[in-house]
Amino acid sequence: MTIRCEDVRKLLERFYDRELKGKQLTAVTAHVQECVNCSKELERIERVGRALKAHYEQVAVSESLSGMWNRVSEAIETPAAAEPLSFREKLLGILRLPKPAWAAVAAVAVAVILVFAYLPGNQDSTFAANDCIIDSVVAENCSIMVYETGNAGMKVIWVMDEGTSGTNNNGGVTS
Amino acid sequence: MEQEERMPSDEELVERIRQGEQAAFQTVVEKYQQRMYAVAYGLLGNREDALDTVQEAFVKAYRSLAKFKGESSLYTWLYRITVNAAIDLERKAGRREEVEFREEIEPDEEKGEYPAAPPSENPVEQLMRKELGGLIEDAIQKLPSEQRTAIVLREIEGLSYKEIAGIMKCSEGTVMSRLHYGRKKLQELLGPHLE
Ligand SMILES: [Zn+2]
Repeated sequence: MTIRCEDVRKLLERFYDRELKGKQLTAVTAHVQECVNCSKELERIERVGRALKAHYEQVAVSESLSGMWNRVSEAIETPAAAEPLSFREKLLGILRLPKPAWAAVAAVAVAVILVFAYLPGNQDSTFAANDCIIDSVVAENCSIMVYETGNAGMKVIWVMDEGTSGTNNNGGVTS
Repeated sequence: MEQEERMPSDEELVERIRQGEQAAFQTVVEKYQQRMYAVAYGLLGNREDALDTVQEAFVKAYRSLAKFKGESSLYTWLYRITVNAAIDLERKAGRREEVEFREEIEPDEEKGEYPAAPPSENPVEQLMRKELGGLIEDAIQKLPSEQRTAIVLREIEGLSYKEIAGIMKCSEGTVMSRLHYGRKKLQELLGPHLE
């Protein structure tokens, strides 16, 4: 199989990355052994690759990482306080508010749900197939779920007080 | 013969960590910290962020070890977490202090953290290597994040397209195109210095 320079150029990076197989590999291997231009092009690719590898390996070898395990183990010992749960934390903060303030939040949320429920085209169910749960929190007295509606592109905060709803939404996405 | 302690396999280590053996996790950290640091440093371009990222990645790995199904190798899984941690950090930092960091990442001989250059290198060669290193880091930081990630995983870590695609959650074709454009740019920036 003979192969033109033009075609070799298209395969050269894959050749260099050792991702070519079979006939293509054979053809390109043979070609770069004979063609000065293509072998120069390959050399250019190699040169940059080698320089990068050499530099970053040197950087990594030079860095003292002897303290890494201590850093990691300390962080592991520290309970999930460091976990990036800011959204949940915020919601849990709301839940911890004194009752009157909490009632206000719930009222607003109920209002939002009502507005949403009566939007035209959303009569069928509160939850449509293309709705996307952003996050949810299930707490002792109530649960909060935030989701985005696919139809209206609206974010809805759903607050469920204990016992007021038979719908149990455990499917919250939490990451 | 007795003295030669066999290095446990990654599967074994994972199993032992799952059974609560923290020393096994220490082995994993020590085994992969250098490679993960090279990736983090390549992506972020400064040692403080790279060290934070490696730490963060190991902590995340430890906490989500249950999610590691063994479909990919442990190190590609760790790379994936490292890449994500680096991207998170980049986003948080707004990725703007690069210029200021540039001074800080110069090797600081006094601290003794960077060992002397190999004995075969004379001072001129040493200087040239340092200068080239600066150019390389500048060039790689100029790449868009996706291209940089693909380049780092391929050129520095030698991962296959398939592995990179798995880590970056994209197709192998996308990996190829990211590598191609990244290389083109690097060639432009570094080529003349490498002739
Ligand atoms: Zn040719």
